[in-house]
Amino acid sequence: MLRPLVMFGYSLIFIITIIFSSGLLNVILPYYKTIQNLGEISVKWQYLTEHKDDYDAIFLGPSTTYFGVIPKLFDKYMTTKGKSVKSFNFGIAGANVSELDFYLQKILALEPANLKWIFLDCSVDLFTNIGSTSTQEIYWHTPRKTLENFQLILESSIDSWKVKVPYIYANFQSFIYRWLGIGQLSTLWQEGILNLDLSNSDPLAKVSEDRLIQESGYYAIDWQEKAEKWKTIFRGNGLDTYQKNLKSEQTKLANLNSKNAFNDLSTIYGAKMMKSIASRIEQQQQISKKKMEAIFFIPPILETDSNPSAIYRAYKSGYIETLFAFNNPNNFTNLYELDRRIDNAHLNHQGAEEFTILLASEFTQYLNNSGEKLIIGRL
Amino acid sequence: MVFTEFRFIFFFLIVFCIYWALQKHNHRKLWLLTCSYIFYSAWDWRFLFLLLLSTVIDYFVGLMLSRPQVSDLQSDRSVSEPAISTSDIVEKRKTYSFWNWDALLNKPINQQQRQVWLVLSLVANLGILGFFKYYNFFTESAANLLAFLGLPISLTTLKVILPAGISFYTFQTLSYSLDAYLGKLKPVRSFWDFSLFVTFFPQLVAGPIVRASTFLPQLLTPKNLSEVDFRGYLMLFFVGYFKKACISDNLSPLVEQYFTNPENYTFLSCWIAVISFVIQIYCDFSGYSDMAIASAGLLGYKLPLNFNFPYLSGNITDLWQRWHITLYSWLRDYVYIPLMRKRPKAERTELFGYRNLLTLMLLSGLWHGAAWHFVVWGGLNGIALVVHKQWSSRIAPYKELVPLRKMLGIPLTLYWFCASAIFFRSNDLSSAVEIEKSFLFFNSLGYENLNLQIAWIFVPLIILHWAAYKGWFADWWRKIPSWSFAVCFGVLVSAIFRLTAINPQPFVYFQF
Repeated sequence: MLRPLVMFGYSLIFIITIIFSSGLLNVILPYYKTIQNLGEISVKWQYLTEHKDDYDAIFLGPSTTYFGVIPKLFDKYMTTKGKSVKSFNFGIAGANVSELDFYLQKILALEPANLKWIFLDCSVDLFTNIGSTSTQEIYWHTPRKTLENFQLILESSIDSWKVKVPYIYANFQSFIYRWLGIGQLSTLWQEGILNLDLSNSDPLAKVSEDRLIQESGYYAIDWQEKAEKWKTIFRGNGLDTYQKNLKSEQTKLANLNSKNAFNDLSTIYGAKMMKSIASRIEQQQQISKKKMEAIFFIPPILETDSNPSAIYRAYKSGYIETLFAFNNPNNFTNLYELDRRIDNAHLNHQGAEEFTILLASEFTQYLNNSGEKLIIGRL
Repeated sequence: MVFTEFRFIFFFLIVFCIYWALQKHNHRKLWLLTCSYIFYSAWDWRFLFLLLLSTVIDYFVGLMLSRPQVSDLQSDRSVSEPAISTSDIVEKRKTYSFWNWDALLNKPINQQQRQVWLVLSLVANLGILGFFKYYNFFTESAANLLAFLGLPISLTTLKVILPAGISFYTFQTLSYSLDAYLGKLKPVRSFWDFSLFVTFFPQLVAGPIVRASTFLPQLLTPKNLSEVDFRGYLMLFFVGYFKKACISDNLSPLVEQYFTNPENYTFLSCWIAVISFVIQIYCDFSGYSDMAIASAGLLGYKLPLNFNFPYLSGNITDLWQRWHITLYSWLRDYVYIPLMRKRPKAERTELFGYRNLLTLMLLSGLWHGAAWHFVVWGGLNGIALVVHKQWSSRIAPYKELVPLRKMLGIPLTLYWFCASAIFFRSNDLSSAVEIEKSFLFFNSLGYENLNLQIAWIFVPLIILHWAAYKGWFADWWRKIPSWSFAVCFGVLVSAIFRLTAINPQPFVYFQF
C-alpha cells in the first residue's frame, strides 16, 4: 500500500534520477555543444568562426537586421568615405534580446582579433511562447541563460503576471527540452539517415547557403519564395492596417515633444538585458585592451505600441550610450513607402539598400564626430 | 492537448494530485468532469457545446427508456395483484405531469414510444456526426455521380471543421442508448455520472470506445489510491509514449515524404514506405490507447484493451479481432449481429453472412474517414475476411496443412494488411491505385530512392515487438524494490526523451 508521502518520496527519487541521468547523458553525448541543425544560424556561425579575424563590424539582431542590413553595401559606402570596414550580418530571424546576448557571448568568446564595432538591433525585446520547442529556442536555453531569463522576467515592472507566466513557461519548456535532450537521437536519425532537412519547416523560407555567405550573412526577403505570399498579404488585407498605423504613428510623433514623450520609464527586463550586453562588451574591451564598441540601432519598423520600447528605456536610463534610431516615419519617409517594404517590420531588398546606406552614413558621421552620441528617430 | 505534449504532463499532474487529495467520491468525479471539459476545450472550446448537446440528448433518451414499460407493469402486477386494465393505466397516466420529474420517470412507456426515443437518439447522434464529418463527402459524391450520369448539378459544400473525437464519443453515447433500449443496461439517473462517461478525458478524443456498461458501474464505487497498480500503469504509459513519440513520429516524415510524391520513387522505396506506415499507424494508435488506458488507470478507472498484437495474427479474421478491438466489437454488436438477426437462424445463408460482413467493413472504412479511399480500404478487408472464411471452411479437413498455415499465416496476413493500408494512407483513390501497382507488381513509378538502409530499423522493431508479445519484459520491474523502480524508471524515461521526435506529429486517429 502506497501512502501519499511515500509516493512523494519515490517521485522525488524519480525526478532526481532523470535530472542526473540526463545531465550525465549531456556530458557523454554533448549534442548542444556545437551550433548545428540551426539552418542559417549554423551556416553563418561556421563561416564566422572560420573567418573571425576578417571582420571589423558585426551586425547582430533579429530578422529586421538579417533582411535589412547589407554588409557589402555598408563596407562599400564606408570605403567611399575613406573608412575601411569589413562587416558581417549575424542576423537571426526571431531572435529576442536575450538570445542575442547568448550569441554575443559566443562571438566574444571567439576573441576576434579585429572586431571593433558590434551593431545591436534589440527591437525584439519580448519573449514569445511560440516556438519554444524549436531547435533554435532549445539551443540557447542553457541553465544559466534560463535562470537569467527568469530573473529578468520577474524583475520586469510593467509586465503583468498574465504576461509573465507564459514567458516563464516558455523558457522553462525550452530549458527542459535542452536538459533532457529531447529529440537528440531523433534529429540524427531524421537528418542523418532519412536525409530530411529539419532546420526550416517552411520550405518557402528556404535560403541559398552559398548566397548567404557571398552576401556576408545578408539575405533579402525578396529572394525567398515566401516573399510573394507575404507581399500578397501585405498589399491585400494588411494594407489598410499598415496605412492606418503609419498615419497614427506619424501624427503621434509629430505631436510629441520631449516633455510629453513617454512618461513611463520604468525598467523592463529587456532594458536590463541591454545594460548587461553593453557592459559585457565593455568588459571584453578591458580584457583584450582593444577598442570595441556597442552601437545600438533601431531599424525602420513601424511601432504600434504606445509604451516606449525596452531600448528606449535602456537609453533613457543610461544603460546604453549610443543609439541610432530609424523608427520615425516622419524623418525617414522613404523607408516607410510601400515599395520599400514587405510588412510592418521588414524591408524588401530596395528598402534594405536604402537603409544600409543611411546607417552607413550615420555611422560615418558618428566616426567623424569622434564617437559623440548621436540619436535620431523616434525619441 | 495530446498525451505526448509537455503541457499534458503538467495538466495530468494537477489532475492527479487534486483528484486523490479530494476525499469524497462525488467531488472527485466532478473534478474529473471539469478537467475533461478543460482538456477538450484545449482543442476548440466551441465544440464543447456539441459535446454537451450529445450528452444531454442521450442522457434524456436514457431516462425516457428507463421508464417502466407497459408490459412490465402488467406482468409485475400479475404476480402479486390482479391484472390492471388498460383503462387503469390511462387513468394513471393522467396524474403525471411532464414537469414533475420523478413522476415522469415513473410514467409507463410502451414499445412504440421507446422506439421513438431510440430513433431520436440515433437521428441526433448520427445527424451531428453526418453533418460534421460526412456532409461534404456525400454532397461532392452526389454531384460527381450526377455529373457522370450527364446531370451536372452544383451542390453547396461547407467549410466544416471536424470536431476532435466526434466519431469516438458519438459511438459511446449511441452504445448507451442502444443498450438502454435493448435492456442490457439500466440508465443512470445522475447527469454528472453520464457526462463523465461521455467526456472522460483519457479516452475522449481517440478512444478506446468505452461502453456504458463497462464504465458506468465503475463510477459507482469509490476509488482507493492503494488499489491502483502504479507500476503497471506507469510502464504502460512509458510503452505508449515510446511507441508514439519515438517510433511513430520518427517514421512519419519518411512516410510523408513518399506518399506526397509517390511518382518519384522506385518500388523498393514503396515497400519501405508502406511497411513504415504500417508500423507508424500501429504505434501511433496503440501507443495512444496505451497512454489512455494508463492515464485512466492512474485515476482508478479501467479502460478496455484496444490492441492485442494484431501484427502477429495468423489470419485476417484474427487480425481484425485484435486491431482497434473496441471499434470492431462495437460494430459487431450494434451492426453485424442486428443485421444477422434480420433473418431466422435457419434462413441465414453463407452469402447473407458475407454480405453483412462486407457491410460492416465498408462502414468501418467510412468511419475512419469521409473519402472513397477509406471505403475501398474497408471493402478490401471485408473481401479478405470473406475469402478467409471460405478458405478456412474448405481447408479445415486437411489437418496436414496446419503447420504450413501456421508458417505462412503471419507473413501472408501482414502482406495483405500492407497492401490494403495503401488505400488508408494515400491522399486519394487514383494515387492509391498507382502505389498499389508499385507495391504488388514491383513496378517503379520513378527513379528516386529513399535511403534503403532504413530497412534495417525494421529488424530491432520486429524483435522488440516479438519480445513484448512473448512477455520478456513483463515482470522484472514488478519484482524490484520501489526505490529501485523509481531509479530504473527515471533512467528509462531520460533515455527515451533522447529518442523522442523533435517534430511531434498529431495522432493519426484524431482526424477520425
